[in-house]
Amino acid sequence: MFFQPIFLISKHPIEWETCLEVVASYLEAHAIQLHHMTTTTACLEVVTLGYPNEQADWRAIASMLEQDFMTAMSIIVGKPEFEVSSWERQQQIIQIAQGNHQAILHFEQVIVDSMGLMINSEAISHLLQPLRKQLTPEHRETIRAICATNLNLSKAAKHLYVHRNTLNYRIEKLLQVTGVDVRTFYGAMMLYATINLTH
Amino acid sequence: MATMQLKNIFKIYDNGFEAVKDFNIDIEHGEFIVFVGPSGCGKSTTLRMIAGLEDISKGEFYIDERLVNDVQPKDRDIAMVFQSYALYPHMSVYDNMAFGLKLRKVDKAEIDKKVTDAAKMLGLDHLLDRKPKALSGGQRQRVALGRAVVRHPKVFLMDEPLSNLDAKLRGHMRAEIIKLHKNVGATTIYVTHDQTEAMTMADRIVVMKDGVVQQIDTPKEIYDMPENLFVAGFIGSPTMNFINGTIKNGKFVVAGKEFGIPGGKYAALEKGGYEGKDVVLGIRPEGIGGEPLFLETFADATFKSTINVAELLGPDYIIHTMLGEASITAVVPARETMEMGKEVTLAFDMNKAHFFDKETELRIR
Repeated sequence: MFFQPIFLISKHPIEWETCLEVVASYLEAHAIQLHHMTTTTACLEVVTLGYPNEQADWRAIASMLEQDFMTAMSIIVGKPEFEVSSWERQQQIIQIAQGNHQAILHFEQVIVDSMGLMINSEAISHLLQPLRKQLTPEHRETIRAICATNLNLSKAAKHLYVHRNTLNYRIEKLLQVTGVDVRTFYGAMMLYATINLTH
Repeated sequence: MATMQLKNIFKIYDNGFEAVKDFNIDIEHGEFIVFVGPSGCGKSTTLRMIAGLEDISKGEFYIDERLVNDVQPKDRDIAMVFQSYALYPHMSVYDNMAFGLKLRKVDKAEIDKKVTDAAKMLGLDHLLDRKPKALSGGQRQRVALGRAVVRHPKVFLMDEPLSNLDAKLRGHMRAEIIKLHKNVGATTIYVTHDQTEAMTMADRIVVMKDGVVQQIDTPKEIYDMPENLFVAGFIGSPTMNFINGTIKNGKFVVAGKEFGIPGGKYAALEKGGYEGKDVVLGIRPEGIGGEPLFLETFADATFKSTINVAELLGPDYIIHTMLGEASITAVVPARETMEMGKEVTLAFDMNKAHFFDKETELRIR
């Protein structure tokens, strides 16, 4: 059996019992092990007989819950390899996720964000601040889309509803303005840190 | 049906980023409003503020003249349809449609009536026992709409509901949604990045860019009288041609060629002090022609050019050519064969041309 940690965060108080029931059915879960629950958060592990479905459409699940329960919903998606039974660890993860403003956040992103928080010293902030000032909303959107699609530019273009050539043009413009190439792992990481971590 | 009023609405995130800036609109009972703009322009954020899923940072939002900034989404009497038209896979079509009502503890007989009525309206009555897996993409999308329809809300909010469908099905579903709106009559706000959807569905369109409303108007006015270069370029396919040139002695001059400007349009240019100054001329591809009668009518606005690319669409050609350094796209009837390298004489219907200020990018009027 596999235990996949899932945290659900609702903007408004919600009837969790029914909500968890539909999430469990959606994921074809064998059972659900609830760690703790407040009126707006639920930390649980979804128990499945096979390894959790990596293709699960979490965005669709969040949309369904938003439609039916009429509340903004964020989902933090873990993997069975992560151990999150302690309340303190759960709170840390929720705190990091709440600063991210994304509806769906995988644990990998939480870890990267928490690394960012650790190094978010004044020195780093100062270093990234000039870069941050140069970024337009279009740049931010481009960076987010490329990171969200694992640097897959075709998928990123689709995500942004633009032609692949338009995305290439935007990337070149971003490179001219910032000197950082978002197509590279380190470039993408740096720009991601710039839009998400500096204050 | 409901009226809505958004007054000086802002969305400002904790990091200071302004996603929506000073959004204002009055929406009438039963209107179909489309928010359109490129990715990241703030259209979905505005929709989510209307739904109550996002907090309004500044400004006031009224439904039926009642301030609802702090009213929870469940108490706003709205229903939402999102891009991902996922359905609960373990539930039948009936149960998927009934689920939201069950959550609201609606009486069983009433649920049955509402689901049956909505299913009939959407042509789903013969599919109520099926599971989502056994439905086509279009049928699933209709169920997603049905999940919202059964609630009989005052307001429908739709966020890119058709963007997961292929082009053919999207065209079909566009018509279905318009029909549904006519039947139900609820005030609807529809978000899309697709200008064809905006043009074909809206009573009024809100064009947005970088969190700022660029223009609010009927599809025809937006198409015929764009407020600025962005709106002019965003709406219309093929896109409007933009040509940099100078106003000299009542004519538009580009690449050594002169184009006569109709009296009314020149009066506006003269009044604005544009004589002798650089401006941008905007003209839609269908405002350019090469037929003898067209050339005769607009004899003071002709130019010779070579075709770079000619695309046959059946009744028309889209031809791509140059005027000085400006790329020109024209839609001309396919009576005569057009091909790459062919010399053609074209004319601008200057009555349909717009002039834009180079600095402010606003239409000169």
